[in-house]
Amino acid sequence: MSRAASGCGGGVAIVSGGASGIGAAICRRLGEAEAFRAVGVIDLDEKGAGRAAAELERKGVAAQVGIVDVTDVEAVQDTVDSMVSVLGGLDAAVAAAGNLAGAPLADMTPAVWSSVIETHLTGSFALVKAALPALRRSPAPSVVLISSVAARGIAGNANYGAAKAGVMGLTRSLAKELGPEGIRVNAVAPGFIDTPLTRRHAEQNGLRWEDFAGAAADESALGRIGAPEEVAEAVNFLAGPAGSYVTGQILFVTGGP
Amino acid sequence: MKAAMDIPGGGAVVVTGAASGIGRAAAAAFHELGASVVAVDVDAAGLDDLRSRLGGRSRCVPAPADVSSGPQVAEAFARAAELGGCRVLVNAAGIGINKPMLDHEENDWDRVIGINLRGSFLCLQEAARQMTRQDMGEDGGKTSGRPDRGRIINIASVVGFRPGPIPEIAYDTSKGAVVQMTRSAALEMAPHGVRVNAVAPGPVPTNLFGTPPVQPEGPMPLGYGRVDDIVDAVLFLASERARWITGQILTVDGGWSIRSG
Repeated sequence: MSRAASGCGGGVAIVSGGASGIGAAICRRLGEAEAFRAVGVIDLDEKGAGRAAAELERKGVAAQVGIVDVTDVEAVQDTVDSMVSVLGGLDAAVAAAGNLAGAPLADMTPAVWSSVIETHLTGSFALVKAALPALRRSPAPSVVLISSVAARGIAGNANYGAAKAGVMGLTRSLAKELGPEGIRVNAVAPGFIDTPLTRRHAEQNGLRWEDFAGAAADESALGRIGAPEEVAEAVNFLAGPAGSYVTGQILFVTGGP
Repeated sequence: MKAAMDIPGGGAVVVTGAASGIGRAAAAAFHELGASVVAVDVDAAGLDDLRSRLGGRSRCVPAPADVSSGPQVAEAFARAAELGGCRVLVNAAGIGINKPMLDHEENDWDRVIGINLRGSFLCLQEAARQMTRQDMGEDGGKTSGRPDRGRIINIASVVGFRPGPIPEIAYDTSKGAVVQMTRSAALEMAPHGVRVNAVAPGPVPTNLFGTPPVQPEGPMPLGYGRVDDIVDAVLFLASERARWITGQILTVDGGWSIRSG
């Protein structure tokens, strides 16, 4: 197997959006994985990122916090550079930072459109670009982006659907571009997950969480909504040695086909 | 790295095509994780060899069978029933015939479709029957809203959605059908607590492709894969870690299928 040769055990991961929801679950899961010994947590939410880092450190995983807007390409580079230097390298970059601000097309302002496109798509671009120099020095480099089942189409959130479909194109393009260097690039496309983002979305639309989540559960073949930890498992598979021959792929974690 | 296999309620892992290639490696991996393995293949001598290699106190039960035969499949699954029922199925039995479409004879087509598609379906159906008979209790799936009765992993192929340079139309077609069978079965079996997924390997050195494998056109971004790379994906999908994943095709091909040419 590839594990022995892949430098596993000493790996460093950086996760954007690591303060809450899916990103926080990814930080926890990678922190538990044999392949990683250190996790950098990037987020705008200083308190949440601090909590995530403290939780990692309690488990004996080195952690570093970076407070930065993922759409600020230069600032992300500075943050990643500093994390790489403190944590001693970088083996896996995971872009999980996201926001949700929808509106029917007629009401969608350019600002709302751009905010979602930039956070998901430009934010993913910024993280991978910033990570690239360090990934090139890794014995087993990988990138995992977070797409969404919304890439198949989502009414009232065209910006989100477009951004997440964009993430798929970004994943495949970077897999092609970086594959010859041995850098793997994959994405996970979650279905409806119980996160602060989806709970806030329900609240902002005047929906009871139980009704909102219940309707989503009914749409899923397995009859329930997903947990952030279930997405994190797929990320861990793709980021780590078990996924060492997987690149350019989108793994749907949606509870259905 | 390999976590202990969390097979619901004991029972057996059935692996078809277990005498060689991906099936053999999968059977050995599940066995190593402590599972009882029913090893199915038309090659009885190959199964005996596998069993002897797995060691003396083997939990490996050879079940020689041609998967394209309904009665033989039923007989093989009777071995699983004796072990408490099939909880995991790996549908890895497959053959390929490399020849131009114009040279394919009826029998070539029937053999490939018979083993790769009909055989996979017969095993999938038999496994699902055993799985749905199991009462795992209301909380059998832990966080699952439904009982966790079993996991089925079909071995598809990247040529199931992107044909390669080698002419093998019956093989390509059979694997494309396995992809869709996976999705349909997943949708139908989800309410019963059975997850159905597929792994789509790129060209890896096995008896099917020869060693070294034929050179495909275009770049292999990560070079050639190994059978163990495929087995890693099978183990992931068969595990509790993939409990919210069903109806998915996980491609393990080092980037071969995203080539431009």
